[in-house]
Amino acid sequence: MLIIKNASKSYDKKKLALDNVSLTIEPGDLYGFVGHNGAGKTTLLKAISGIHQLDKGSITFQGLDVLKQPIDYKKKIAYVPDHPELYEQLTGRQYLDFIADVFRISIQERQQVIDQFGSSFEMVPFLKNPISTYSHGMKQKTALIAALIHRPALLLLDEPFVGLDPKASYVLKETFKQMTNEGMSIFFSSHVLEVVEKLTNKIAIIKQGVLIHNGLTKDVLGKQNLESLFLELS
Amino acid sequence: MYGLLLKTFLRERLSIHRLFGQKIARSKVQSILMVGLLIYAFGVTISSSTFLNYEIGLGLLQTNQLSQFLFNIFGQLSSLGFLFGFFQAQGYLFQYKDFDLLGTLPITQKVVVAAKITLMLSFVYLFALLLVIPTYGVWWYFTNPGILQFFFFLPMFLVTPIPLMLLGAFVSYGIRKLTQRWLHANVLQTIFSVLFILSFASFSYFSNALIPQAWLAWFQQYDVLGQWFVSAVTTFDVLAWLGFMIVHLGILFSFIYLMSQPLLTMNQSRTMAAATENRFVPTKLKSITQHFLNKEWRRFIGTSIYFINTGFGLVMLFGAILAAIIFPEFVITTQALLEALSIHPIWLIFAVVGFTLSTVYTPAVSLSLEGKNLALIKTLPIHPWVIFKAKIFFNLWLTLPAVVLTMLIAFPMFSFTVFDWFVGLAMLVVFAMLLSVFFLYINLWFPRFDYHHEVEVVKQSLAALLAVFGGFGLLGGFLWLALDPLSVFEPTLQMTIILMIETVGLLIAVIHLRKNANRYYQQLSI
Repeated sequence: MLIIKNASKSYDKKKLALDNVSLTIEPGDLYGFVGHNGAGKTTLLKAISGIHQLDKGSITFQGLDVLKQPIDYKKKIAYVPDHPELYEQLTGRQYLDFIADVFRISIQERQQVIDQFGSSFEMVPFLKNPISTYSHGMKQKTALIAALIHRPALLLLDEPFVGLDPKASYVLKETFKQMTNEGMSIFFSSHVLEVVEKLTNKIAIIKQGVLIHNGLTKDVLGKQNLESLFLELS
Repeated sequence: MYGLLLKTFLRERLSIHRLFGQKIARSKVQSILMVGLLIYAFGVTISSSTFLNYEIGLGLLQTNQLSQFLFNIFGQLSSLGFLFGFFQAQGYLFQYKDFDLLGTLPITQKVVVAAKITLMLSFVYLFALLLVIPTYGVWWYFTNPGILQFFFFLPMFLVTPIPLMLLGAFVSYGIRKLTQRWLHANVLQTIFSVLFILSFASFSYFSNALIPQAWLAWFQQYDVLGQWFVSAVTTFDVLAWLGFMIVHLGILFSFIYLMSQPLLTMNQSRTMAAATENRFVPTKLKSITQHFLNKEWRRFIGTSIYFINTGFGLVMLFGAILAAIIFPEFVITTQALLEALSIHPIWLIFAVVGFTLSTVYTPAVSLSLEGKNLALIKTLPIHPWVIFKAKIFFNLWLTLPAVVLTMLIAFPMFSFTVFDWFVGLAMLVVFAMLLSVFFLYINLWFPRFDYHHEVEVVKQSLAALLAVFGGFGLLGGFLWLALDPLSVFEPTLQMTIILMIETVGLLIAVIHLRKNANRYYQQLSI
C-alpha cells in the first residue's frame, strides 16, 4: 500500500506545487490522476518515484519510506515519465539489459518479459537499434518494457498514452487490467479523460497543488462523466 | 553495480557516435577527409609538443634537472583536472542530466557518485594523453627508465587529477549557487567563470613575478605531493608512492562518502525558480537575421563553456594589444628580429590574428547547439541561407572589430604605408570571412544535435576539433605561401596575391554554399 501523508512542495518558496496532499493507493488499484497543466501531477509522481524531495510530508510504500529506505523502496516501484530520457547511445536491448541488471533479474526472467512485451508492443525488430534512432512512441514503449522488467508492485506513469499508436494503447490498457488483477498498483496521470473514466477504479483530481477529489471513480463521478466534472471544477 | 553503471555511462558518453557526432561521415570522401584531419590534428599537437619538450630536455639534461618533466606532468594533470571539474561538474556531478532515470533506480548514491566521478576522470585522461604522452615520452627517452618505473607512474597518473577536479567542481558550483537567483543568471555565471579562469591562468603564468621568491621556495619546499610524485617515479620510493596514493584516494573516498547524500538532496530539490525581469519591453518588428543574431548573442554569453572556448582567443588578443601598447619596447625588439629575418611585420600580425580567429569557431558548433530546436526551426518558413548567413555574420560581428582594432594599433607601431595597411586589413578581413564560411561547412558536415551538455558540442565534438586545427591549417598554408613561394616578391605584392587567393576561395565557398544551402539543410536531422 502506498501512503502519501501531507505532501507539500514548492519550487520557488512562494507558490506550492503540492499543497498538503494525502492519498492512499491499495494493492490492485488502478488509479487515474487528472488535473490541468501545471496542477502538480508530475511533481507528485516524481516525489513518489524518488526524483523529487518533498518539503513536508512523507511517502511510504509497503512500510518503506522513500527517503529513509530508498533502495528497498525503489526495488518495488517503477516510473515511466511523459518524455522518457533514455541512454540514447545504447540499443533498446542494451538499455533493457542495463535496467534488468540493476534489478538483478535473471536472464530467463528478463527474456520472458522482453519477449512478451516486446512482441505485444511490436518492438522486437527494433531492440537491436540505438535508442537515438527511435521515435517518441518507440522510446515510450522501451521505457514501458523497462518499467515492467522487474514486475514492480507499484507502477507510476506520467501521460502513458501520449505518443503510443492505437494498438500499443490497447495493449497497455489490457496490461494495466491484468496487472492490477494480479495485485499490482498502478497510478497514472492522463489528460485523456475518457480513458481514465473507463479504465480506473479510483480517481484523483488535483488543482493548483491541492487534491480536490479522490476516491472510487464511481463515487467521485456520481451521475456525471469525468469531462463535465472536470470542467465544472476548473 | 559500480561496474555496470560505469560501463553504461561510458557507452553512452564515450561512444564514437557521441564523441564525433550523429552522422560521422556521409560519404567516402568525408570519411577520408575526417581521418586525414584527425591524424593531422593529433599529429600536429603531439609532434609539436614532443619537439618542444625535446628542446627543453636537451637543456635540462645539461643541468641534470630532467625530473622537472615529472613536475610538469604533475602540474598538467592537476590543471586539466581543475578545468574539467570546473566545466563539467554541472550536469555530470551536481545536477545529473539523467537524474529522472537514475533517481528511480535502486542504486546507492555512493555508487552513482563514484561512477560519475570516474566518468569525469575518463575525459581528463583522454585529454591528458595528448599533453602527457609527449612530456613523459621525452622524459623516458632521456632517462631510459625500467618498466617498473612505468608501473609506479601509472597509478599516480590516474589519481593526480582528482583533488583539483573536485576543487574545480566546487568553485563552479559556488559560482552557480551565488548567481542562480539573480537576473541574467546565465550571463553572470559566464562573466564570473571567465574572470575566474583568467585569474587562474594569469596567476599560473605570472606567479613567478607576482609571488616573492622566498614564498615560492617555501612552497616548493613544502610541495610534498609534487616531491612524492617525482621521487616515487625516479627513485622507486615506495613510501612516497604510498603517501601519494593514500592522500589522493583519501580525498576521493572522503568526497564520495561525505558528499553522496548532499548531492542526492541537491538533485531531488532542484529549483526551477529564477529572477524575472518585470520591466516593460516594447515589441519591435525585427528581421529574421536580427532575431537570429540576437539569439546567437544570448546563447554565446549565456553558456559559459561556449563563451570561454570560442571567445577566449579574442580576450587574449585584446590582452596582447594592450600589452603591445603598454610595453612598446617589446614591439621594437620584435620589429628588429623580423627585419633581421627579412619578414614583413604584416605576417606576424597575420599569424597572431589568424591563430586567434581559428579559436573563435562559433559557426562550427552553433548549428549543433540548436539541438532539438532544429526541428522547430526547420518547420518555419525561413530559407536555409538566411540561417547560415546569421551564423557567419555573428562570427564576423565578434571577430572583425578585433581585426580592425589590431590593424589600427599596428599602423603607427610598425610604420605601415597607407596602401600596405589597407591591403593588409583587407587580407585579414577576407581571411576572417573565409574562416567563418569554412567553420560553417564543418558544422554542416559533422553536426551533432543529440547532446546532453554543451561541452560535448563545444569542446568534445569532431566539428570543434576540426575547426580549430583546420583553421590552423589554413593559416599555415597561407603563411607558407607568403613566406616561401611568394618570398621573391615585394611584401605589397605578396599581400595582394594572398588577398586574391582568399577572395577567390571565399567566393567559391559562398556561391557553393548558397546554391546548396537547401540540400545541406535538409540533410540535417535530429
